Amino acid sequence: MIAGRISIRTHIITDKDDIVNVVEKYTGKVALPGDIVAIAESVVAISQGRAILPDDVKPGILAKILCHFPGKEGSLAAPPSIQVAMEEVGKARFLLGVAAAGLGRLVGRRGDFYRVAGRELALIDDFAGTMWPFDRHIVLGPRNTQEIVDRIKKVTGVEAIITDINDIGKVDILAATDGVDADEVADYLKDNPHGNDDQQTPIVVLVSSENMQKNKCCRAAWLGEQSK
Amino acid sequence: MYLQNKPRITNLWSKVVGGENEKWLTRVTVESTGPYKFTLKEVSGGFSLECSGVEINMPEGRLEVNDGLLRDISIERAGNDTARVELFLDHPAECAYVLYNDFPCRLVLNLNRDFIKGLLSGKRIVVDPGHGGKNLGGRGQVSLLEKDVVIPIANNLERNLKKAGAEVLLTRRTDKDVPLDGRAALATNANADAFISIHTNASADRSDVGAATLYSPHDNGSRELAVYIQKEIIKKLRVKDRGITIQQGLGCVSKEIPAVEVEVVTITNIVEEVFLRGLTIQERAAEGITNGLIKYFACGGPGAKGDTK
Repeated sequence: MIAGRISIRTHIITDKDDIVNVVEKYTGKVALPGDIVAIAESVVAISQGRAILPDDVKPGILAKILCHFPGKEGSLAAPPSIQVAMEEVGKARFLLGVAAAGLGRLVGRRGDFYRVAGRELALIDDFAGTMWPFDRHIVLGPRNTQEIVDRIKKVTGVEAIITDINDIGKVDILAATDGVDADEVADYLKDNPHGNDDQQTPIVVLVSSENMQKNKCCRAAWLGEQSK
Repeated sequence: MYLQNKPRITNLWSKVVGGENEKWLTRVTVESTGPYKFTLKEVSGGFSLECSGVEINMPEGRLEVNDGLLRDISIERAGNDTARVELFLDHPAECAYVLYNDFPCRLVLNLNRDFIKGLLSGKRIVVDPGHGGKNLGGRGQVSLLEKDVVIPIANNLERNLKKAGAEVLLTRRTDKDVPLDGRAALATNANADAFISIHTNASADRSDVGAATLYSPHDNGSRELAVYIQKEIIKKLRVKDRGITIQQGLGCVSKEIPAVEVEVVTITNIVEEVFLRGLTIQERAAEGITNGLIKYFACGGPGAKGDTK
């Protein structure tokens, strides 16, 4: 059972950081075994060097045409990000996705593009999708997410998840260690505690009821100390 | 394990809340894993919060805020188990605190923004979203049109200025073109204190980026207003600074009224076109312009030379 949560501000994560070290540094004295550390997918991707500047992408003719299609889903709006997406899953699969989306629309169904072209494309953030100084980058989804959460648990003893949360309350858990109840956690993250781009809190600790009880005891002790 | 640890400060952030019919405040929140002892002191240029029996669990240093009142916040260690949080203000303000001893523990500092209200109340500002109707203005590589995107920015600016107590008139709210002399006449008839036209830059070179502010050729404070707005908009948007320059066209606005044209970013650049679609940049652009106006009126308005270069 989760009984509370606390958002943790970090430095600006770049590709010089190892995300496991970052989590260890910022949660080492905040999270206890039984708690869950939630990490925003975009910073995991950035730490993996998956932020791309548009100058490094040469959009082909197809990307330039596709950007004019109405209802381009999610954050794929500009030709460079469409190009990057096509390279991620291959041109053929991307086009199948576009075709499926077109057919889906005829029968009034949404979401077929990502079902066919690949869920990982939904994780691509276009320009302005990530906070400064990465707001001029296209940020791809993270890789090896299961391996990362498992390493975090090994190093810190705390459960870990990697999350993709948008502003309309849609929560996706990309990877979780074996002790996590994904449904309960998703419910607890709907209002996006990672914050918008003004708040640099890519790590959130979800505190278990047991540890919250301990915290309450300490709170009394801390307050007692103060009234002395 | 918790008992061995001191409470830890995990996050520090600020937000402007209220306005119009409620109290208008800059709210700074210090979040921690538990309560600690603190003293709040007024110091030259702001406030200092000394927290004892607490560790810092976030990066030390300065956080830029630039909300017109609060310039930045710093947090640093000030000895064993002691943290110092400093608030650096652009204008005087009163500060009151509330401690919420739940989880996370939140120490909330409320700074009132009355000083800004004093500067802007009774001021009449004409906000002019450029182009409209068949006059499209610049066009992005994908599809965004200048005439459309200036509307939400103007609406945000109107909301901000009204919160500060100013009276705001818009030259258009719908998708129609208004002749230049009509826009200028609105300002003249209203005897406005400032005329702010909102545009985006457009360039044949698609790699051109950045923001600029243009000013009326009349020597009436327009240039000073442009300097302030340009400086503040760059701080807010963190885009390339294209500087300030004279715009002869603004000469049609009465000689008595300082007039500027803000080119928020460059719509013809693909990255900045995507920026412009986002609600964040539409809000930040309006905040930058608001902050420029606050600085301008704080330095005495028309004829003020202030620290403008």
